[in-house]
Amino acid sequence: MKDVRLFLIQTFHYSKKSFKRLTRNRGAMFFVFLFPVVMLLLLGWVFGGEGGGSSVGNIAVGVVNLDGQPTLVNGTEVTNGTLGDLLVDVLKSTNFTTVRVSAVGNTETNSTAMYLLSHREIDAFLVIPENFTECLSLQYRLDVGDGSTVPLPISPVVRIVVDPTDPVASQVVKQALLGVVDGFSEEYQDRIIDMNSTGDPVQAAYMQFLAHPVRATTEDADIAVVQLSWINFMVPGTLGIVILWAGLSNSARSLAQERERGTLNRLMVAPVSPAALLVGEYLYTLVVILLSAALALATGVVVFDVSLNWDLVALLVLTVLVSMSAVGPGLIITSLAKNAEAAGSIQTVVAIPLQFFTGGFFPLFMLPPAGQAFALALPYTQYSMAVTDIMVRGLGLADVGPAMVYITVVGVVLMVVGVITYYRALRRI
Amino acid sequence: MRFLHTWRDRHESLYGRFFVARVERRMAPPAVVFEHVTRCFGDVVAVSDVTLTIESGEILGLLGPNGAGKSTLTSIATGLLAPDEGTVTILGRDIRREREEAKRLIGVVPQDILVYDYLTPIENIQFFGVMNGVTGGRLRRRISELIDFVGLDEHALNQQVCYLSGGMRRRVNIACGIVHNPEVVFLDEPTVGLDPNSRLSLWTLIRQLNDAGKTVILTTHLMDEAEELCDRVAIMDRGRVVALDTPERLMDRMETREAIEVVVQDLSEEYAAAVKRLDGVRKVTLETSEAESTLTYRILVEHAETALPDIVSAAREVGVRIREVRVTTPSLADVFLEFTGRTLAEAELEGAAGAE
Repeated sequence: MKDVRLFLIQTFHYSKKSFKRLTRNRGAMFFVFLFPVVMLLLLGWVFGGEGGGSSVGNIAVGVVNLDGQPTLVNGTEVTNGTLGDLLVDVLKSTNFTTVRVSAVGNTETNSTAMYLLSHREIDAFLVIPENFTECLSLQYRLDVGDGSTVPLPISPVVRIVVDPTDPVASQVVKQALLGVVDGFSEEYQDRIIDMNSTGDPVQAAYMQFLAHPVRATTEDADIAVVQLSWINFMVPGTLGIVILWAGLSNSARSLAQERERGTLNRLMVAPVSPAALLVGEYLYTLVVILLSAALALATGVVVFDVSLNWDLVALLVLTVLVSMSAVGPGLIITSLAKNAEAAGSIQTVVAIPLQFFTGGFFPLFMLPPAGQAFALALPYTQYSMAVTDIMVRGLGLADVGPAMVYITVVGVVLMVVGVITYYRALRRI
Repeated sequence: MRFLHTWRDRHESLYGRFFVARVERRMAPPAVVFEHVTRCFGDVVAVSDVTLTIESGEILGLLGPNGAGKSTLTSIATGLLAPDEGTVTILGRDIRREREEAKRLIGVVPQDILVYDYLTPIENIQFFGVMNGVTGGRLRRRISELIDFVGLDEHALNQQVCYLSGGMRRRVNIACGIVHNPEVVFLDEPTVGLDPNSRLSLWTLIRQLNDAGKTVILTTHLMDEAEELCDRVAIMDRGRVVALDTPERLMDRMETREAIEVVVQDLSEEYAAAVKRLDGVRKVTLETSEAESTLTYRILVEHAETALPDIVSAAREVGVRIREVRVTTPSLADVFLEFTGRTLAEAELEGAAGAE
């Protein structure tokens, strides 16, 4: 019991000492606490909620094809889904990954398009109406009064529903899907005019009047629980980067600094357990990570007036779990580096490229498939996505369960490797 | 041992305490015992089959040039390095097998100032106290004792160490090494780089530590420091202990009894060769002092009285102008020369070349 008490006291004092190392070094304070804030401010002002890209690759689109379901035409129930299927085939022939869904539904029912969108399984969905084929094949007729009827031109309305919690991505997806529908519409108009006019200009003009284009409406899915503003999504999205920097930069220098100062030798001749030093260092880094995250969130609230779903327990749990993924690699770096400067350089070389894969700077779909796979393998990316799900979409810990398990497993593996390397480095002294 | 304490408690006199302290010292196991310790780094044998017993309560000087194996031996004794062969015990506890217990008994004051420069002296002492297992009220009392003991200025106590003078930092360095009141204190070249005043005050501190019953192992390559402070001196060269005794006995063991220092105007190899040929002359070494711009031939002789006239005549014969002649007793530097066949300076140069 006495040993445990001493272990805890030693751990606490080691953390306290490390914390003073940070608080009494203004340069380090800037990089740990102000750098993420400055980064957030810059991103906030530079991108300003707009932005986008031209690539439509790797976008998953859900298709709710209602065409072919019974619909009333001229008082008669008909079913024809030919042209709806054709539009789906057109979508498939593009770079989109199409997912067939039976209904629009809601965010609770997991077999609906809205559920898939709210759980990031698709990036947008498209609803083809029941009367799509009937409209385009001019089956609606107007009674002209003498018992005869004429075709009644009606534009079918295709709904494009996007995920508003990823503003940049949603803009790109919206434009891309509108382009596909417009292209389909133009092709349909050209063909129907060609087929029916047979070179007669009057007939051609008449067909042009009848062949109304497909109308497409775009809308944001009602899946966000907070006010829809770009910065609301940006703030939680950047937390992954904040944790990556705060965790890695602090833990990567710890042992290397002790070794360089020579204080490690002094600690090694003391009857203190290396585990106390390790736990002390981890607790210190965890405090720095939590403070950095809190500061980033506070900046969002104070400067940008963000309104988020504050599920602090979930946020805390996820942050503690992901901290292992930041401290583990830091321990590996600090154990292998010859001195603090080398450790700092290695940490920078590791952190700078990784931060671009967390999804904080640009949407993941803009990455090539290998890049996307790499990004999704990073626990920081999973953390950012899970935090966004919780703080923006109002999901709970259970909803981000797979991400949480993944973050934990990767974190534990990295920590185990880090601890083994750390102990080996201590033995090398 | 308990009966002794009971006896001391019954006889609260000064004599009683003195008597018990002496008996305790005699009955206590040796402070440090090295038995056939060997340690190699690759092909280099840093410490070779060292067997050495350091008694409780003594100041032992580990004397030798850089690369002689002093630091390796100290690192093995403090548990930083494992020996390839042999064992080390601290007050009867094996440093490898009873690591925790043995470490509680030792304190290390390194040559470099190894404290956290962003912490204040108090914070540093407190931190190393906790790391050495001292907490709470005992730590607070110990800190106030140490502030007086090492002589830390009042105004320095709450300043970060990086803003303190070199002397103050060294005091903090010492305080951190002995905060847990260890029985055995390893001091590694403690006075290197200090001005004469600071050096003297540190010597006083080391004596006070020893007076408080602590065993002190002083690593140094300064002969005068070893002569001044040490009860015994172990001379190390090329990883071995080549001589071990009190400074006086070591000097007594030398064949030469006296040394003549001849301060000359100009360097003359001819003169050195002439002196070496004289009867009764054992060794001739040249010492230079850049500060005083002097060249001094240090000549170890059997009898100064008989050798001196010939030495002066030899100077006259080769045309060397003598500025001053002094007759002294041999120093530990001469002892080192006697036992190793090299001067300390030569050994240092050899060590440096070996390191390269």
